[in-house]
Amino acid sequence: MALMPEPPGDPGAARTEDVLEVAVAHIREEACQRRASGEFTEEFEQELSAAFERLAPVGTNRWFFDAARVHLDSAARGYRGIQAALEEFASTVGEPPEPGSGRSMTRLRDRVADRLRALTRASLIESVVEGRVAHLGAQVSSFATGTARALQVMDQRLALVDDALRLLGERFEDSSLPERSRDSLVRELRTALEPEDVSSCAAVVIERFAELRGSVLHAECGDGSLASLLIASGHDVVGAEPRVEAAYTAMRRGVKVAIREASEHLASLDEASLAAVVLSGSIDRTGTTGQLHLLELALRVLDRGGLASIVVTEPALFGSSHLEPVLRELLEWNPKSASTWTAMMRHVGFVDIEVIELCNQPEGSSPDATRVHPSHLLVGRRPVAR
Amino acid sequence: MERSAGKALHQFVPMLMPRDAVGGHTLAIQEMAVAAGYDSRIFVDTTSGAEPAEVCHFTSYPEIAASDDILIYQLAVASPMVEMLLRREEPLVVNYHNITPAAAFSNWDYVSVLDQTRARDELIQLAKRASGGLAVSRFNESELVGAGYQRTAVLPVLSIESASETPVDSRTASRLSSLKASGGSDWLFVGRLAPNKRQDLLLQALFAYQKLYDPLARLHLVGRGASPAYASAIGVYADRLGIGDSTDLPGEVSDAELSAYYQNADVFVCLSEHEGFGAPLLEALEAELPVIAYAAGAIPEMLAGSGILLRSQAPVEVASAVSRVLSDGALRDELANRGRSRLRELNLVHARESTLSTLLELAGRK
Repeated sequence: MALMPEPPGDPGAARTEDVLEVAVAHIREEACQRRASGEFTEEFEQELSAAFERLAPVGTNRWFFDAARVHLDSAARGYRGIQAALEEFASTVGEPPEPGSGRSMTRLRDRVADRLRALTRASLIESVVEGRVAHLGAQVSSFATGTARALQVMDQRLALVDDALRLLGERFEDSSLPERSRDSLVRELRTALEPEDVSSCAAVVIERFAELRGSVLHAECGDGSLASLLIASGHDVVGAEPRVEAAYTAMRRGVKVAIREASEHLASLDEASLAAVVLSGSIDRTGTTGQLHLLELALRVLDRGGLASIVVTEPALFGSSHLEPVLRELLEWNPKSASTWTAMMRHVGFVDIEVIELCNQPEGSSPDATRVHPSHLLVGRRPVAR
Repeated sequence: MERSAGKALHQFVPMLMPRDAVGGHTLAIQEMAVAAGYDSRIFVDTTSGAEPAEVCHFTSYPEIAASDDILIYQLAVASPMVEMLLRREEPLVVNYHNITPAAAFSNWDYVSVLDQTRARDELIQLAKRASGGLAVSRFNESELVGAGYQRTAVLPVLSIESASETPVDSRTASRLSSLKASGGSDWLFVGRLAPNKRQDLLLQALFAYQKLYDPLARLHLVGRGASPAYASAIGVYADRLGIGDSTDLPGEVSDAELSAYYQNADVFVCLSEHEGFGAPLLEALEAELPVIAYAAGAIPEMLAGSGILLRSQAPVEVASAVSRVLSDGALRDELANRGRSRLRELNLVHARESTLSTLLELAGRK
């Protein structure tokens, strides 16, 4: 029996559907054109989806959920066991009716059974068992969410910005401090988090990579300015960039880009799968442990004899920024000197380390106190011999 | 609890939520039953304190039960009341609103995975007990038949809000109007923030649309967070995409506020992967909004040619669809005409009038 009306069969319907079908066909055609022209590639669409999936809690902790499910099933069986025991008890309760009383054993037993069921439903037993089951499930979900979020380095960077902004607000209530416009400091803060322009390194990097054969990774590639120059010089380049806006710009420049942090992307690659790696963007802006980890990951993915280029800024140049020192500290920028970077690279296993000083102000630009430009390029090689 | 004299038609629903399609449907049936002279109570397993009507705990039903009672179970989620209903012998009709596949939650919320799996088991268990099943769409009916229900019927949900009849919240309307004055189109989707509703894909589509067509476009995602992890991720993702300021997440809103959203919107976009009915799509048609939707679940059945149906959820295609609809006045007029026709065909008034008699027939009381 179906009372929902079928779609109409009147003559006008066919024409109407044609109009809509034509519209859908044009929509599909336009989408294909946009993808083919590079305005919004299919790969980038997939990267957007992948970036969201990485925000999900469960993927990183499947084993924990399987273990939790075992506990939940066990608790449910226990609850059903208690229920069965009570039912059995209820079935044996009841006094034999007195002769002629009109009461039946069945009615008395049913009433007791119903009462016991009502008691168990509302009882501490049910609430404890089912409550614990629900609580466990919620704890598992919360734990997994917390763990997954801890892995998101970009979230940590953004959280630092939020903390810095909150502190900024508090400081402005302290009238003993020099007056600064809150808006201008916020702008500086946001600008400081934008991808830095490393295209000034392009000529040197291209020269150093000239003899290499194989794929090149730039992590974090920012808006793709350096990566696109490497592509133009004939290299097969992939970028990794967690900031979606910057990744989109890189995509528009023709760079195949993964929307990921540097460490996350490097960890996903096979060993010895790349001819060269360029590290910039996050390398100055993470703790020393994180910096060493990035270098280790870079070494691992390089072919034997492959090159890593690290784009860094001298601490003294961070200090010349007009950003409030407290903001630099709050953002956990961790610049090191070229000599320290050399030592770190050697410690991790790179050889033939070269330090190239860069002109740290892009040609044609005027000094911008809010931007920090790279000062050095370090190039190191993964040893050829084991 | 006292039993009233005379015939009774009681409903069982896990929770009676305000501004919820199942809740509104339940209350509408109660109203009809009472008007027809039935004693009609609503039994729940969980109370929130925000019920829009008086409810009783399902464990109290046996105190007033009578063999000629008719029981209706509003099934959309798992519930401990099913165990009791399985043991009862009064005629039972299952009014099926659809169970979201557990797989939709598998990366987000394990508790929901267990709940949805249990709900599907309960649907099958009830098939042997129930005299019949009432579905809100043919899509849902096919699931009832697959679960083993011998007698089925299809009638739409009775809680479709008519935008033209609901007063508009002036404060919300004013806020939305100010945003509109600054330029840009307004997209609307109404639905719980849940993985199967795919608000994440709507965010991707808005990102693409802003890059390719209109940098000022806005997206309004109206609905409460049903899955905490997913709802949290949606907020983070909007910021990650740089469209946090263009994305409105008001949560659950009143009927009047919702009416303001429908009135303000330029297009209704739905990329759900699973809908058993899709009441907001019909509300959008009532508000004469052009509807763009991914062809999944009961959506093609509901729209029946009155909206743009996409076979892909890809952001570029969705953005292209919105651009096409907003730039083509003739297409919009055609969609509005088809929307009005479709609502006439559904004849929601007639459906309302038929519901009680259909339930009685399924219960074997007619």
